[in-house]
Amino acid sequence: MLRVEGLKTYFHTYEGTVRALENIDFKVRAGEVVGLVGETGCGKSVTALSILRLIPSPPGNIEGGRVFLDEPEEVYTLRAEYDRIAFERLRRKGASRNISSLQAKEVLQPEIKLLQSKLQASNSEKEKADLKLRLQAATSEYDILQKSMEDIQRIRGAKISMIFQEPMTALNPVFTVGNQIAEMLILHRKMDLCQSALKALDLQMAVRAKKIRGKRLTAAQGRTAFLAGRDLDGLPKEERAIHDRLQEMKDDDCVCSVCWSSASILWDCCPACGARLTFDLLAPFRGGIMSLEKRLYSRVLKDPQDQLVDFVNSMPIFRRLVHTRLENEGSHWAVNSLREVEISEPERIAGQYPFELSGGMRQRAMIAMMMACNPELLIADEPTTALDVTVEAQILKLMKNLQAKTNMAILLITHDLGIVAEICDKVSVMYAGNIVEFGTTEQVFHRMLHPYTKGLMRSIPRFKAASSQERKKDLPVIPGTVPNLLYPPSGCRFHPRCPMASPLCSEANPELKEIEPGHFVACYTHVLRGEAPP
Amino acid sequence: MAVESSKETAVVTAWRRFLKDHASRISELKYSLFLFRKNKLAVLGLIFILAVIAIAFLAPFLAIERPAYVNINGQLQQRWPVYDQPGNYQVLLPPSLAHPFGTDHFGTDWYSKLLYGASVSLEIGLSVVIPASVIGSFLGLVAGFEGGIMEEVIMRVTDIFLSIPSLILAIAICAVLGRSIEHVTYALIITWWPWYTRLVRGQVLSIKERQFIEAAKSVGARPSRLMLWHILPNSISPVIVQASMDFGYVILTAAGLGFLGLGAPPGTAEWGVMISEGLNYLFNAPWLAVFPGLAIIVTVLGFNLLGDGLRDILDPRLRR
Amino acid sequence: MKLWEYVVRRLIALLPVIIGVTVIAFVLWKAIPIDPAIAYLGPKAKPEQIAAFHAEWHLNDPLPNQYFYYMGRLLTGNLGPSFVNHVPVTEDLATYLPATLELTITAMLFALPVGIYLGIKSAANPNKWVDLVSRFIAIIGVAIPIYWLAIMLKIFFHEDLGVIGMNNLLSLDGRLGATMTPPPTVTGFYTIDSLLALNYPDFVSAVTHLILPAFTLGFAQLAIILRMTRSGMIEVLGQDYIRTARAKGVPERQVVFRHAFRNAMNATLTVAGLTVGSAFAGDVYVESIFNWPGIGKYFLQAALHAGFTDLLGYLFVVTVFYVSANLVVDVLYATVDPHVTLGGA
Repeated sequence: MLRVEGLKTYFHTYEGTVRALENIDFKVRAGEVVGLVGETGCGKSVTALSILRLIPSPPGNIEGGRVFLDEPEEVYTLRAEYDRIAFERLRRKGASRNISSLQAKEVLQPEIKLLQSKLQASNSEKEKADLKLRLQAATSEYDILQKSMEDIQRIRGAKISMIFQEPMTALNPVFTVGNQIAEMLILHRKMDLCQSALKALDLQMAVRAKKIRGKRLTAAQGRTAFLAGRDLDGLPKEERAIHDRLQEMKDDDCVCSVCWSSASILWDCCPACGARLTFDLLAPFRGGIMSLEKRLYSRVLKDPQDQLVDFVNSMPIFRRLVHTRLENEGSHWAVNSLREVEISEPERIAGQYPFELSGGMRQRAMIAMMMACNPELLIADEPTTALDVTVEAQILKLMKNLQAKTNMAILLITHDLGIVAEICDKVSVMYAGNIVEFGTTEQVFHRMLHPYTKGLMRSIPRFKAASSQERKKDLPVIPGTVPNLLYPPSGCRFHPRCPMASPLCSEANPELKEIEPGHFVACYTHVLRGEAPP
Repeated sequence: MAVESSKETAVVTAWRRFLKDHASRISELKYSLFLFRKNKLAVLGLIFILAVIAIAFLAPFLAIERPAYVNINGQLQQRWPVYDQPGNYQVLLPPSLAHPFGTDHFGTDWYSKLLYGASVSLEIGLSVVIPASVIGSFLGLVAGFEGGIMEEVIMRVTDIFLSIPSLILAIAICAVLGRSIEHVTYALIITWWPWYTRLVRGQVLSIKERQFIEAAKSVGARPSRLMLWHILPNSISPVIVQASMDFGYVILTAAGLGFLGLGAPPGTAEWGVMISEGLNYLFNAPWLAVFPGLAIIVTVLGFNLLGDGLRDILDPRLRR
Repeated sequence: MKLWEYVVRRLIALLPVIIGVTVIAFVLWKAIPIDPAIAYLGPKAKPEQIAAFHAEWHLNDPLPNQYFYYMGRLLTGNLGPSFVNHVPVTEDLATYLPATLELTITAMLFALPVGIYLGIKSAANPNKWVDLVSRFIAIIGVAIPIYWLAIMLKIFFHEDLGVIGMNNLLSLDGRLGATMTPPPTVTGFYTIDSLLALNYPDFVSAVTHLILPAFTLGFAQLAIILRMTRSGMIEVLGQDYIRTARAKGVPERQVVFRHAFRNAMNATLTVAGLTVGSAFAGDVYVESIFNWPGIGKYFLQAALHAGFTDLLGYLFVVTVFYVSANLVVDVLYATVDPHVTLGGA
């Protein structure tokens, strides 16, 4: 469901052009967990940031490549032939494989025009549908690198989410956790929020007529207040039930003083009886404000782009009118999100600021935030590198659970092969800006093909050695160091350190070839051995 | 012969050893200079400042007219040649080849006065910034390091001084003590030292928490050694940056006090005083007010740019 | 802790500061090199008058007593009679204060929004026009003396010397046209009062007289605010959480103004507080050059003519204003930044 083809990202710095990503190809299917491994500096994070177009633009630039999101199978098959035509024409001009949508569309102008005219002229529905698909293929319709900033902002967080390496600094210190999650919901699930807000509003308006005022008490206070000196045995049955329920609650839980049901911190009125629990400065005007809000929300539900609502939104003070309630609704939903990531006392945490939480909690909060809108793909950039090992295990288990529940795909970026072995279905190995091997975990770990992968596997220290001789030997390392991406080696970037290098390797960068079904490698040794076509 | 050459070699070897011992610091210095040169604005600032300093020293040679010095009440005051008699009337002339910046209401050449004003301003700058920064930094160091009552007292006093707008306090002090350049200097020192105290104390507090201090303590460093050798060098860079920028601001404020009539006596070649004289003849001879102001701008700008450049170099985060 | 707890704490911390300021004022009072009696009564004062003055003002008591007497007077709001015109200082200050407030408030209303906006825009769009202009203002603006700028503007808009087309546009002197009478006093602000009295010619005149002084004063503050806001924003925009916000799909405008600025507000608030003090200082220059009858000009006259009580009275009043402004800034800090009230990390 995500196809990265020929991604090329360079950074134009004062000292020269850093060729961070040369030619990245991989794909992620729905529900798969794909690992992206490589050493520090090989471009894993840059890949992730390029997909979401988060590369800071003055020095960085995505020079070429296409990233297809949710491209239907039919369009994919049709695109293959258009791509072939495009490559041919571009090769004559001397361009490489990393074409961007813009370039493709340029060279394919005649075909595109032909399809458009045919579409106009056509009468049959079937033919129209088929032509539309062809047009999408020819114009690389599903490539997100060519979309407008607005479209990308709609994709970020909603279809593709990303969690980052440093939970300590990745959350905004001046907003509460609940608020930051709610922001996500307001951005991407406004309609749902509006509906729920409308319901809450109706409830409040109904109850407001009764003008009940109550207080929010802790369960401990509630127990004493409820009994109010009465004898436990003399209580009627209903009150006895309430008393028992109060006993079951934790001391810190909140209860409404009118109906004695639980009244979350985030509600300003009791959800059961509607009594107003907090001090409301605008109380006399509340009636008018609420009917105004009701009108606005109904309008939004009918038409998301309603002009009146947009107008109100753009005025700084009136904006609060609409947004405060949405933020409140969002905060409630945020509590549920937090509960799903296995944070205890989610209500309390939702009202806290990031600096009040520990690293593991912050990472969970971030996961909750990024998953709040049920994205199709979660990119996890070294999510556990900054955490303790025990916390790491918890987070990984959590991610696997969530992934199973929602059938979300995960692109897990890490340098830790152990993690990959544990939860990934497929693995890509990256080296110096190129994908050198790609396959299922089983294939790559047991039948590794690329010399770099072999070197990596060999250099993992093991507890149990195969023999006492092996235990005494030095840990095998890959000789040499990672190349400076300002001046990368010609051809295959690994060839200076490769034990199996041949003269061919310094000439051109090898492409990924399929050796066994689903297992790709970019290395000339296999071509030379005849295992794959050149 | 042999004795002389061995003495020479001793010096040379000593120098070579010095270079080797401090090799890393010297290479750091070279790198700092390289960074500085790269920052074109900072170099421009330095050029401005050097130009002003040169003018201050070379004023007697570059000027067209020179003042005489008269002793009044124990103070040396300037008396500039006057050309307002009929037959030699050069009052309020516009800029020309003979008088590049024109002449004032006494016929004195404005350009010459401007040149002499440079040294006055630079002098005030030096005599305010150095004492203020030293006193302020010392107090800040003590406050941050000692903590407890000492810190409370010092910081309270600092707060008190900082809660009066600087210029107002300076004007009040000059008004009470009487108008003279010395009083301006004292007033400005009193006004300026608290900033350094606050700055240095903040630095000391954050450095105190760092690990290398714990490390030094754990090998038994005495408090005075800690203070001088470890904390001070690390907290000094913002002081240097602040001091270089303050040079400019002090000159600006001192000229302001001169403008208001609280500094040098009228007729002295001081840029602020010159602007106030220009104000009196604003519509007859606007050039009188323009040029001293430009001089002030160039000077302050120079120190500002230099300070900015220094900050960029000294900030470890911005280095490679 | 809650917000009001924080406010109370800050108020309590103010007490020693105010006392300290009175001490400084007292020290200045005692540092006057001439006998205050002679300064007040004039050189031809008779010895009995001088003695009476000394007795009334407790000038022969031991120092601590003098201080307590001084504090006592202060607490009753008595700043003493002016040494210049023998009118109570409080009365004088009250007369001239509205003019200064009108000027200073207008200047700050200009400087704060423009400075903050330019600072934010400049940091968010590096090397575009906004940034280049802002950097220019930030560097040059702090180097230009206010008094010189005021003079240059006077020349620029002068009828004879000014630039053609601009001359005679704005008024250079005083608060109102030379022949006009001020509107009935409601707030003391000529602009507002003339509107309230529906006196449009007065209003126009008041505004045209206000523009140049307010701009001059405001420009100096603008440069400082712009500088601080820009550098604060640049630092914040490099932080990780900004990248997270973008990854959430937050539109760029919100990223800059909501996520980034909220964090950079700390620096901006600090400098906003400082500029209030700097504005009062600049007032002295601007009021004397534009002949604006406010307390700054009053202060300067006092300084030049040995009006010692006036001086110290002004010092005290301005300090109170400055301190209050900083208190407001502190409270705003607490509102914006959760670290302040929640302490901890």
